[in-house]
Amino acid sequence: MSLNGWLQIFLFIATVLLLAKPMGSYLTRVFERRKTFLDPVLVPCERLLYRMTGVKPEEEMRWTEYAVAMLIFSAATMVLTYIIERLQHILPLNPQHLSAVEPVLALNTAISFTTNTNWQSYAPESTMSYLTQMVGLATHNFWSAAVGMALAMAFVRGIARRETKTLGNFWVDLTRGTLWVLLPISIVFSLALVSQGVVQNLKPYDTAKLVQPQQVTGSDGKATIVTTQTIAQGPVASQEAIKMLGTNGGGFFNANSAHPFENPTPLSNFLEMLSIFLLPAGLAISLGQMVGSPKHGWAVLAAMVVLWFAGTTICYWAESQPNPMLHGVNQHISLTQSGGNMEGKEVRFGIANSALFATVTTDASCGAVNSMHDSFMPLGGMVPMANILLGEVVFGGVGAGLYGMLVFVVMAVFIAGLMVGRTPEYLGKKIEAYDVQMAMLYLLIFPFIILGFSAVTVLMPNLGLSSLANHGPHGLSEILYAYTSATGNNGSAFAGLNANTHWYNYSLGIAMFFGRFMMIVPMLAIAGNLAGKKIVPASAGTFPVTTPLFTMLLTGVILIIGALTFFPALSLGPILEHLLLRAGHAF
Amino acid sequence: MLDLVASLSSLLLFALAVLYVQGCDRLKGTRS
Repeated sequence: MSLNGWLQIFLFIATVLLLAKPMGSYLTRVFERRKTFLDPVLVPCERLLYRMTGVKPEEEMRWTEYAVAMLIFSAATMVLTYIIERLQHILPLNPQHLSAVEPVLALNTAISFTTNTNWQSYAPESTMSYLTQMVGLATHNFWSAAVGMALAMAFVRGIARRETKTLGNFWVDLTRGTLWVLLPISIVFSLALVSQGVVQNLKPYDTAKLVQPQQVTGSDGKATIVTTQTIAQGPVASQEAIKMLGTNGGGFFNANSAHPFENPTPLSNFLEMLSIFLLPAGLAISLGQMVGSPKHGWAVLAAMVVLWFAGTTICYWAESQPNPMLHGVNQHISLTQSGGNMEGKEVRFGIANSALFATVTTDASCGAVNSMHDSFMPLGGMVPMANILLGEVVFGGVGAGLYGMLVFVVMAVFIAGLMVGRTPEYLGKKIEAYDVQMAMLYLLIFPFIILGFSAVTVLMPNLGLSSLANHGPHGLSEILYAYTSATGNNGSAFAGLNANTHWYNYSLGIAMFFGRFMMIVPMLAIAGNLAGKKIVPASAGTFPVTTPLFTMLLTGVILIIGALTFFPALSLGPILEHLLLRAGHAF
Repeated sequence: MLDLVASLSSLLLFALAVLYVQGCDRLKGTRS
């Protein structure tokens, strides 16, 4: 680890915290339908959209109506993406003449982008046309993030409101989140990325003559001399901006943010990481403002920062360790030596920014990568996986992180109530049996899907294990990571696993679907139930949710629930691999 | 054929999700 690395890490989090309040205040204004500086341009667009779609913006929805509206919207947009993928060979903007996407892969991808996962079982530049990338996939980057924000706002209203049955209007929240938040920031951010060298065009791919021809052996064993290289192009900057801002993570290119056309410079890397945390940090502040307790927002944000710092430290430390298999090699940091594990990392980012990016992208449900997690040291690779296993509540996905965190808050307050023997209250709302039942449903579905699918997969040599590039504990990590990433709607891949098979496409598709919608429903049920409750005045026995003690309790609850659920699986994967590596066995 | 399987399985998943919404809502009525 180096001082330079730590300075960059601290600069990153300081910038996030500096932007959290202005972002949060803006989000509050947008979702409380107060005046903003963009109103003169956007209000007419908003009205036009409502008139065209027949939405009555003043109509409020119960939680069940809100949930069904969200499901209808998701189903319709998912079908649209599927159709575009299947028909891309006869649609325009396909200069490479790519064929239609195969049905099972098209279904997996449609679910993936609808659920904000952006898991990619394919190489985009050789599979998806420009039209598919722009209309089929990038639109979901906006919509799925806007859905997440809408749901988080519904939960916050459930806490803030009293004795009412409604949580707002889904269509209004979706529209305002897209028009006022995602679109304007994406436009500015796209231009910033273009200034750094991210490409933005609709040209056919370029062909370059290699200075040094290469001999390549094909799968049939035949050796051929390659003299040219195809350089993929495309409308990358516009997709890259929302990919990060909306915590989507699906790359325009297979190499994702490690590709020089997606993430060319250390500054673009910094901006990309910043944009992942920008909205989740702002939403935490917005929570405090909307429930009338700004300190509560900061207390929740503090818990996120503590968990982020722990993950970053472990990952950076693990990646800075000398590899025990490289005997006799001086791996200490120097002018000519990076001082740790550089396999799978870009030289322009180095160890600190690769470890930080891996932590940030999995704290949130982004899933973009600027280095290959499969090539991390065992404990370094465990950090991204553990971040997702904790429920991606450390900042988390846009909206999804906040509502996930609020479910943990309900559990933390419930546990605090049990400890002192009184009915738990959260900001004046009594937490009762139904709230805890729904919170437990939310928390149990997650490990059930991940561990269930992983267990079934490792028991199937022909369907599950045959896709692995590595065996032993590393192979288990590859499978566990895939289902963790899918269920957590993260979308990053550990690599080393060929997931473009019928089994993985179907099972990961189901995991993504259940991981999104089966968790949203109980969360909205809690919100609907909370909205109907009276506010109980605070008394001496009320557990304050604005103090460092609350932050500690919340952090503890998240870690304990995560550790109790997933430690056995992690101990058979990355922890065992770490111990075996020390003993001289590599996988 | 696979397009039909994809369409039907998506329909089934979303129908299941709507039933799940109703199930969670009804559960509230059963608490003591």
